[in-house]
Amino acid sequence: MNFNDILKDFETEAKGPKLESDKHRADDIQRLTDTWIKEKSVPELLPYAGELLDRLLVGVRKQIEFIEMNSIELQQDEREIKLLLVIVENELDRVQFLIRSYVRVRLSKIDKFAIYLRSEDEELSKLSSNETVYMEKHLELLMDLYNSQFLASMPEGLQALDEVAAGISMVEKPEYERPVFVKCKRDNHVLIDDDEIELTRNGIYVMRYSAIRDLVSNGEVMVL
Amino acid sequence: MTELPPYHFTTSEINFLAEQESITILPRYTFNGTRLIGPRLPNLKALHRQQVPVWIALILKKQDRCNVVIPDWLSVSFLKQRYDEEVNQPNNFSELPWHWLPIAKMLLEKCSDDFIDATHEVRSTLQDLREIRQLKARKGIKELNEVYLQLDGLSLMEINEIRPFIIESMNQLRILSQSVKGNGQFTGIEEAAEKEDVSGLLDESEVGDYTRDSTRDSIARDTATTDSVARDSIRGSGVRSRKPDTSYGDTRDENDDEDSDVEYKKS
Repeated sequence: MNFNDILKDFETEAKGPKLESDKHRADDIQRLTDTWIKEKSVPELLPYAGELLDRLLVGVRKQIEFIEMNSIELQQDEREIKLLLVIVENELDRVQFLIRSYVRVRLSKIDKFAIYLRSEDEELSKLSSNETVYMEKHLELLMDLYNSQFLASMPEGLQALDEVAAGISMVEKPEYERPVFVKCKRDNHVLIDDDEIELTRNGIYVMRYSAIRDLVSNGEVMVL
Repeated sequence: MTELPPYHFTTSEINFLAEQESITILPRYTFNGTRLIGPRLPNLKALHRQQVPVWIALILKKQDRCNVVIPDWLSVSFLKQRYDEEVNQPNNFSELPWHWLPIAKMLLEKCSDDFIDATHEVRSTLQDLREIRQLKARKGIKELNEVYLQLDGLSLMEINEIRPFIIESMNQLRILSQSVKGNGQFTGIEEAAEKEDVSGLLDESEVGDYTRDSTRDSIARDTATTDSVARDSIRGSGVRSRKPDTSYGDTRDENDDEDSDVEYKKS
């Protein structure tokens, strides 16, 4: 199978039953980008975009195969395919960067809010199964470390890590009140401290996350 | 336990996003497209205009396989017009593409031969535009309050430059005003005391060529005097905001002087 055959293969594939798939794939990249931006800018952990990532990872695997197949048997069209490979590799790197960064941001949030996430079913459902396993294992290791290093030698009354004392909880929660930058897709209004604030289409605002959390999750405003 | 990564993006991450935008190219050779994870690269025909993402355009350009069609907004006349708008409308930012800064920079660096206007003129006009907008954005920081801030017309790169400062300051203002209101008095004050001095944050934001000292001083003063700032009228700034007058409730006189925050903290 030479390079042109492969191209033809892809051609027929693209023209075949999956005529619309190109549009879908374009959307997927856009969705991944948006998901990444959202996860990075928002103080809480968002639901895991599992289906999207699965689809993209299939694409990633296909491209890796494509690169491997074509870099072994370099033939006459050498210049052409080299350039093509540069483009394919570049795109692969870009997509992988987005995926990695997305996963890392999530892991750092999971590390930070582990005790809180475990205590709420609603929060737990935002984690993928791998992330849940990771969280449990990581927390277990951390607890072992804390116990062996210092907790065991503390008085029993001071050993808990999830106590509420004088109205302050030890468990770290996301800062829902933290301000975020948003862009509005349509006219809207929000309530902050009992004051109604008008949001105009395409306006860019900075306001606390708690006030616009619902609008972010239903997609009426975009976080930046 | 662990520190969260910052909520802002690095300059290279913004550049990355800008590279996803599409741009028109004029291929020099015919070239078969290929399937990608995202939208496929269309077949390129010599001298047939084609829209591709900026990152592909830059690869093809580097290999001398295409010319980039410089977007209309990247011309001296267009930018000059925007500059005049900036001057004439001190309260608004003129409309520019969402990624105008990084795209202009990339194209000037990598495709300078595709420009119709002299690149040094484009560069200097861009610089003028950037400076006047930075000035406005900085003036707008005066309007900072704990409720909200409106910044229509800023591009992503410009937002990202002022983001760390604005977010931290707003957060501090909110914590302070909450403790003044009496709900969560203790937590509020402690939280505020734990955090570092906001004025130092401007250094961390990638502000580039800001004339730092003078702005930082005025910003430090401004954040210290939250309510007097909020009472300021718009005064030639590009940022609009409104502070609801009920936010402090009846607990204080509207004409309190600047020191009142401090007194509240001590009590």
